[in-house]
Amino acid sequence: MGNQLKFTDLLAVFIGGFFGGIARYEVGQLLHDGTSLLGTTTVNVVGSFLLAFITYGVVIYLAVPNWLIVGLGTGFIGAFTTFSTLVVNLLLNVPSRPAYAITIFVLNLTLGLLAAASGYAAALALGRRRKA
Amino acid sequence: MMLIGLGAGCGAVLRYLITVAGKRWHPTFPMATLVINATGALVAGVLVTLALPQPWSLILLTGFCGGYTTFSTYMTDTFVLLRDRHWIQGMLYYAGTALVGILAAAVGVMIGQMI
Repeated sequence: MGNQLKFTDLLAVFIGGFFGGIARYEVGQLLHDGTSLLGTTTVNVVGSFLLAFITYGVVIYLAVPNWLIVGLGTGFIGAFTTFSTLVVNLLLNVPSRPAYAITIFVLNLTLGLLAAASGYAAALALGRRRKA
Repeated sequence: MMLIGLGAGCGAVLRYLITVAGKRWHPTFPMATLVINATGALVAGVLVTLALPQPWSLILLTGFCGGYTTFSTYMTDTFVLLRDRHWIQGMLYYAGTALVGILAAAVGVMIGQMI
């Protein structure tokens, strides 16, 4: 990968981030993230799977231009998932319902890592099928 | 919705720029993403305490901070460190980001209460 900054890459990251942020908000509204904290959990777990899958699947097996990789991965999925809301949700909810808030936080960390591992495994499996 | 998109787009671009710079500075350890998530959590802690009017909260908190910080890269980078058997670095990064993030957001809340 080139280290030089290109305008098309930056534009792709902006557009990807634009839609990733909106998609996160919509999932949050749908799942009542303000009270359930499940919107953030869902985007984080799904996004971790997708990022690992795209980084190790799409990039390795398909000739994709760099702007598309950074637009989808860094832009869309990066902005679809969030760390700041996760941490703020933990702090805001610990005083009133500590067990639930801590469980959700730990669930994000464990399921997120499992999802990334699964995304990687799915990409490898896809690669083997394409070779066979 | 446009406000969230604009905030998240700008946040993602800033994250991209810092990550590109970070790869030169720290080629093996994902220090850039740790710094991004810690600073984003700090700013989010300040903003959430200030209880901004809704449009500002959407563009800055949901949009910018949400788009600037990232959970997927945090998880994928942790997985890659563990996959490559960099156990200590991987566990340090995994637990370290969580702890530093909580601490940063808590400091942000305190700053917000002082403003």
